[in-house]
Amino acid sequence: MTANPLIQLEFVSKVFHTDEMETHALSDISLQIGEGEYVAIAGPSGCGKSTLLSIVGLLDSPSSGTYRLRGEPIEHLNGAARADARNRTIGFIFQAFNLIGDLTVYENVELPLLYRNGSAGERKAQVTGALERVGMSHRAKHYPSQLSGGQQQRVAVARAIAGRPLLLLADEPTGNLDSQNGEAVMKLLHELHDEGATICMVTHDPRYAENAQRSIHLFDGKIVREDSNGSARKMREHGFSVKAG
Amino acid sequence: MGNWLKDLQFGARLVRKNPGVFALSIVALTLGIGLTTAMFSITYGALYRGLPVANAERVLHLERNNLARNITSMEVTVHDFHDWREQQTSFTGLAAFYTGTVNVAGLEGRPERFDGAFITANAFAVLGVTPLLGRTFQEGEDRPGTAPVMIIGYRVWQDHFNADPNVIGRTIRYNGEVGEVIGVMHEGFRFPLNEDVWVPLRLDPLTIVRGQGMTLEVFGRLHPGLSQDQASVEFATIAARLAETYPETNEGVGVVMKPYAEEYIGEEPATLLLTMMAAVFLVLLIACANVANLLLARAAARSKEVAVRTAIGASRGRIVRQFLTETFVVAGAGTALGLFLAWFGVRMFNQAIAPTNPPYWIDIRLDAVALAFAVGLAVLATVLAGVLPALKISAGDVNEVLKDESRGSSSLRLGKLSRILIVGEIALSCGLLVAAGLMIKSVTQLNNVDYGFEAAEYFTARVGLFETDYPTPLERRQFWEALHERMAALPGVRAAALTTNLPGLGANGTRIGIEGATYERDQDRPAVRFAVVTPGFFEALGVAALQGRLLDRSDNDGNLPVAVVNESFVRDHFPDGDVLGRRFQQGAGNWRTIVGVVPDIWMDGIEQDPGDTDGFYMPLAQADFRFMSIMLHTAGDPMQMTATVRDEVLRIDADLPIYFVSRLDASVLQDVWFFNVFGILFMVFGAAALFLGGVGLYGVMSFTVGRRTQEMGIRMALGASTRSILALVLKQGMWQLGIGLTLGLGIAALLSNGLQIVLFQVEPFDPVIFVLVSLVLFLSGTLATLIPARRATRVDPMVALRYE
Repeated sequence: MTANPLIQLEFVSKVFHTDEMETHALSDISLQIGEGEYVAIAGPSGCGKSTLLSIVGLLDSPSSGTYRLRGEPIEHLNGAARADARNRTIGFIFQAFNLIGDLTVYENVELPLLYRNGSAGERKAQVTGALERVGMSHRAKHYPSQLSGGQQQRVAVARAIAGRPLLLLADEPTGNLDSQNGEAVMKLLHELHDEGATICMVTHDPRYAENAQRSIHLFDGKIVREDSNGSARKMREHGFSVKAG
Repeated sequence: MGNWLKDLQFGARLVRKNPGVFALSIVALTLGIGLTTAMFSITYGALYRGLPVANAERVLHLERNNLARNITSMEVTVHDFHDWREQQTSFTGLAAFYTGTVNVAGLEGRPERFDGAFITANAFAVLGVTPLLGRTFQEGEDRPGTAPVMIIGYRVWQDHFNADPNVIGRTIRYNGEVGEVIGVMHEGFRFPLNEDVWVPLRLDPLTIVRGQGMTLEVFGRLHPGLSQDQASVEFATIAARLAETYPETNEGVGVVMKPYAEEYIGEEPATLLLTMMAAVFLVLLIACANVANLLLARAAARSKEVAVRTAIGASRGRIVRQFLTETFVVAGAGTALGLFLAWFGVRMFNQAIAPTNPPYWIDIRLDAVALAFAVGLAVLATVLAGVLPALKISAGDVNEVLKDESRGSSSLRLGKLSRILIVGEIALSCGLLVAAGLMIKSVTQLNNVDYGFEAAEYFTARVGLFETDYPTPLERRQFWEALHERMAALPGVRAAALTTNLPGLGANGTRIGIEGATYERDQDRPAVRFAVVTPGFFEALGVAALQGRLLDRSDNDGNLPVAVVNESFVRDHFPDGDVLGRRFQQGAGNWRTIVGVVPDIWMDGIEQDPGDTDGFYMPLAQADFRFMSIMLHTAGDPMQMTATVRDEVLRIDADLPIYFVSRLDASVLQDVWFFNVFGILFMVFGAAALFLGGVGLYGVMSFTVGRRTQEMGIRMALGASTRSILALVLKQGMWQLGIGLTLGLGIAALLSNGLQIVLFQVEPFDPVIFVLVSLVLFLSGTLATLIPARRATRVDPMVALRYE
């Protein structure tokens, strides 16, 4: 267990009620993620990975159990406080990139910074820094539709890191990419982790799960296995490479 | 602020990127805000701007009533005015006036007739106005026997004195007297209504028997710090005292006071203007519902964007703010364009009412107040049209949307809300359309009145004589005879007559006593209309006698006093039809013998059915009137007679102008401008409502069908026929249409009741209009539903199943 957990879930369950049906998406999940950790949540489709990520990302609330973010319980937070916590603490990377088509690359990356109080100069420095970090500063004035999938995901990563969040949540970040672009994004995530970022990534692909320090395997809403991937990670310290097949 | 600007920029960008949706929204709000602002400017200018003098709200109009006799409004007798003035302490001063003709000679060019005010010397001080040149009246200048003086208006000074700064001290001849010009008023000042010249009201109560003589309009300025209620209390005491002292004239007489401008607008037009405001607000509501629906459709397509914004930290309030900002961009554009529309509307309205000479203080324009109102409307429209979509979209399930890979927008269910909005739109449109339909019928009736003669072929003008120039009835009669003869002899004139009252413009009223009948009180005597005419009057109109004979030259002062009565008079007073040779009298006047019966010819104006008015005509040679209208049936264009008639009058009297020169039909329609102008306004509102309602229904149906493309494909793949798909879509549209129409007819019933006063010979619940409007709305609604429904049937199932 981690000494100073950033994320602490205890017996978290999530039940969806539809008509007369009860669907248990998560059952008694207990989990800790420490600062600076790189954790993968793996499992087949429908096992509850995305639901878990939504709860961790404050987009959803557990039906029961407790969730502490930096030691603070989140149950009492109202909508505005949760939005603020999402904005300052968490950076999201989605499978479908989810860039806003009517905003330029620069404006997409600037978006989370607009939801907090900061000077225009400060924002500019942060956006420029984030775009440079992902190698997309030369496309700042382009619109998402003018970029390839891989480029869009790099912009999405820039948006996620622009506000310097404590935690990056990536939901199948390579799901919509070809293998070459997928690898590039994974490499980017590794580099960010090496620079100190805490990352929690959902993936159904075991190869990518192995790249994290720790893999948590879900099945039918329960944690069925937890792997430490120290050796695999060490192998990639000097040049990431995951071969398909 | 910076973030707000970013939202604004984003809103403007969305407008540019989705021109169709936003153009429709902007057009809707342009109509809504433009028409509402125009109507507000009209209402504000007519009802609330008031007199253009300092502290206008403290200038009150005073008149009398006698509730015991059911009289709510009476002008003030000379004696009452003097007593009020002496006894009251509530006003800084009480002033009085009456308005009338002031014929001025001695100007450059021909003599002119002006609208003038005969006004007490203190009036200008009470109003707190000063002249541009010279001075206003001094105390005592309104006493009988003082030297005549005159103040002229800016326009008269400009047009007739070439803006000569030395005009003060010049003598001119007015209404038969020679007076001195002592002042020129500032541009725009035309108190009390539309006056161009002011002369002192020289009254001597001692020469008049109490309760008789002319009556006056009275106004005063309240002392600072004193309320209207306090003044009313004082005047109630004064009225009671006068009633005790002079019971024969003042018993039951009370005092009514109200803000000056309110007196001249009247309750009915005020009610109508407020009804119009309510109606135009309905147009705005329809426009907002339309925009809300279009934005809902847009919002549904943007649910993913909102989910992303939420995921990266935007609170619900922040999302709502952004959507409202975007709506404000649309409302802002709608307001900017709407102001142009309002400017145009106000201009058209002013042009339409210009010939009616509205009081000078009715000042209808787009000013700072109207601009502030328009900005307020923009904010209101933003809230009305933007809040629903904003709340709806920000309440969406973020997780569901973010997970929704293929159909990013479809998880948002807007159908119910949209349908409620469209039902509301149809209902409001129906209400307005019925009102518009009634108005169209009213205006059509008005412009197609069958007078029984070709009103467009008649030249008309007015001539007024003054006692100073024509002191005896004989001199006046000689003038009228000479005028009549000369008019009849003019080339191009088929027939000529003089009359106190032109047909279609209303006639004088009087009470008569019919020989053989007894009347307990004066009020029991029949009220009838009468006109004084020269021989040839009926012939000029092509009217023949139904019984007996028409008036002729033998009906003069030396012969038996006679009258010709109309059909209604006979029906109401001599139902057996035996009328020839019967007699009646006006008040205690001579008995008049009825020598003929003519058809009803619009003695009560054209607002009433001609069959509603009992009336009689008497010969000018047996009466004495100072003001007469010339009526010429011409062979060619009547207005080409103007110069000829003017010159001919000047040949008889070089100081006498003609005025109110017009074609008869134009005079009549000018008299009923109210119906025309407000009718046209309502038609505009109705057209806007129909357009907005139709576009709204089409937009929503189009959107709904578009979103159900995949469903349609599945249905068709499963074997649904074109007909069943068509029925499916039509059914939804018809439900909304049906509920909307039912509610709308209720709204229409309420609205049309309020419109009763401007309807010309149209029943407020005219079944034809109600049915016709329902049909028009039903057909346009069906069309708006059918187009997208037809599109749905052309869906290729394979394409639809791949639809994203």
